Amino acid sequence: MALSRKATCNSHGQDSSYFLGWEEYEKNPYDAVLNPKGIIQMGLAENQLSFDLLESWLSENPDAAGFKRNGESIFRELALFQDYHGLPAFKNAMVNFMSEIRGNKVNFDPNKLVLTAGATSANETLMFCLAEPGDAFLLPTPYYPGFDRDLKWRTGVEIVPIQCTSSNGFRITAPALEDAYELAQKRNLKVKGVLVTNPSNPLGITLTRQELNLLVKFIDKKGIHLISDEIYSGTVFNSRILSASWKFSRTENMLMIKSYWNRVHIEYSLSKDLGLPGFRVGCIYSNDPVVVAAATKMSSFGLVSSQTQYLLSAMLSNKKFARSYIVENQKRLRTVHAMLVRGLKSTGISCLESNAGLFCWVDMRHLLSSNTFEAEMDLWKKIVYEVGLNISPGSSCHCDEPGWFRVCFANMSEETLELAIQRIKLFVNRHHCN
Amino acid sequence: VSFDLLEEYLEKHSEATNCDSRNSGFRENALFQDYHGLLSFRKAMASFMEQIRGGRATFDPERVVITAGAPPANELLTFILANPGDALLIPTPYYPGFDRDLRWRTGVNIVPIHCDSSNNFEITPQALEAAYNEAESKNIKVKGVLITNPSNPLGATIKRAILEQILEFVTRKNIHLISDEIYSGSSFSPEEFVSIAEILEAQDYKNSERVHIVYSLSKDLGLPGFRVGTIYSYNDKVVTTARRMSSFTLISSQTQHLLASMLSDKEFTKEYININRSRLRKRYEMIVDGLKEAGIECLKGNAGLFCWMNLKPLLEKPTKEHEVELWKLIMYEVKLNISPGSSCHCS
Repeated sequence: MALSRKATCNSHGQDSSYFLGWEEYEKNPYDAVLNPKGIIQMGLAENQLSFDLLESWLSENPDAAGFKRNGESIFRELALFQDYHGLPAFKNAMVNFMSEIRGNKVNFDPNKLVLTAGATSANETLMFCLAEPGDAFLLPTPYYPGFDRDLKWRTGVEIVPIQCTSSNGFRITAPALEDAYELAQKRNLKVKGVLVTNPSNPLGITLTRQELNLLVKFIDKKGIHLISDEIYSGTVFNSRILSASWKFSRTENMLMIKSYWNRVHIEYSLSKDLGLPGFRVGCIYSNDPVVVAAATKMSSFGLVSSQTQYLLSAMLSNKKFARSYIVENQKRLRTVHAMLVRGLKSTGISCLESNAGLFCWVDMRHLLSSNTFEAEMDLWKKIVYEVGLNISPGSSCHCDEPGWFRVCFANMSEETLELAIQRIKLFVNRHHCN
Repeated sequence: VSFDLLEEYLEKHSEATNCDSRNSGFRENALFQDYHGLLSFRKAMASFMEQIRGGRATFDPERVVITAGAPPANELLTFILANPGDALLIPTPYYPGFDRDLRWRTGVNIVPIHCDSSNNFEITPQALEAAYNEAESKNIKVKGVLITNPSNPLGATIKRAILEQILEFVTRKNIHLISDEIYSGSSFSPEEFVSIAEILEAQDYKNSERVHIVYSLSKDLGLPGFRVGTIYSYNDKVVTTARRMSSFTLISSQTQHLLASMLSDKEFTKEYININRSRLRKRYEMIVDGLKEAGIECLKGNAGLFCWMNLKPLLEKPTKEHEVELWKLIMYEVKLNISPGSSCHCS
């Protein structure tokens, strides 16, 4: 009585070192009081910096969590609301929030927005809508390890890497795009599009105007799609933000007559910017009404709880609150980011210069015993077990060069971050002595 | 019919909605995205499912997998148990949503187990064999049987003897059994609903690794907007795989917290289940009696939120086209939106 092929293969990606590090952390988690020698979790891209802002809003607005509107109970209305078009007030609040993040230089149409149970669901749904089993999407490396599961597992879609290297700060180049496309062809895979994460996970950098131009030219020439995963858009703490959505909307009138306008799709989620991964709030934004229609129907398999839609619609439609939250959150991110970069620099470790995200892309190549991935794994194990830090090795993100690690900084107190930096200092000093 | 009971509960228990001024636990809850689901929620669901079955079956919280409603639960199981091109056998008439939920993205087929009014639409061993053979003749591999118990659209529970026959059939063919029990709390008299879980427990869980139960709070608690579904599987590999796949369709932790609080209050749930049942029975009797006065018979039902109404006497000719004509008449002239049997694949 066998199970399906999907159930028995390894495409869930659970065996990757990315997840194994988590398991080690779970066995021996750091706690300032109960387990001060435990492993500090620096492999989880969570934003825990600004909960106080959300909590104080909730205290002042108890109706939102209490199923009330203007003091009147709307429990039944919400309990029964399962329309896959989503709560209109919530979609309006989402597009306003997305707009606010982009400095109000862009307007989004709520009718082009599809709600999904988190970005995980949004990513998979777009694959189902845009590609057949056996087709491929091109992704710049390094990329978020979860994509291997989210984009490929149940959809049967393949990922072909666009190699990016430290030689130019991991920027996407025209030759790299062409090489990836050719590699797909050699493997007999039909390329359906390019998926970029902007700001990038794990790099923490926003795409430059040149990169965006390159991408747009490329998808236009090849007649394929462009997906821009912008779930970290609210974490840009250095305002050089350029997003696919911003660029395209800026020249909207001109671009709307461009053939590729309907092939550009954006994903967003509240898991990173608001720090609410548990609430499962994601969305797809597409200019193609056929994609919007199909994705809307597919969202039946992962709708957002109406209880949560209501709470967040109340919160985010308060423009003053939304604006002040974004500004304060960015400020706090800038502070802890600087702390980590400074701390690492003092031990002789440099990071890729970044302006966004909840992590740094750290260069530990000089600490490798050899320029190999085996050496990277050895170093990683030392850092997990001896230094007591769960960080993510670049190989788990499909990086081509050994020695890079993603280190998260927004999911702990400043004291814990300081302790983590101290532990690295000690390790590096010992390392040098050896 | 029972929202007042839920609203009353919420008024008395503000901690369930993180409403109190301290907002304690808000951030932990907001961060909780573990695909195992909140333990307190799984415990509460297991206990609620036990209460619905009058304690005649026990459920282990470690086997509860969370999904955002029943459609993804059904889809997930289909992805896990069958390959594209394989088939699930489903008794007719069945819930129209299955055509999308089980087939769309999975590429799996539905082959009908034909049931008809000659024996109150009960599933027979002959019908099971016939469906299996039909699939075989088309070179389609059958991976399992999916039953809805209590049945949608029949509004009737499946008898114990028939459940045992179905279990014997799937064991003999070495295939799976999915029991969609989302209306289990809506059976009017608790004794008449027999869950597959009871049968398995009675036989010491022999052959149980092929059985999987789907449940949801959309019907029994009237909360379809909250997207609360579960898969309960007796197969360890299925539980592990389903859990990983549930990443695509988790329940909002805010909602898990609310329901963990509500459903772990056993006094509340006991009262809710009883009152809800009696209100549903009253409604059922009202509609059936009213229709009877108009000379319209219904299938004898004992569960669900609907009755299976027999309008055959009103058809000019017993054809699908005439059924559609009658349906249009009822829609536009009588101004009632009801579901024609053909949409449920009634033969």
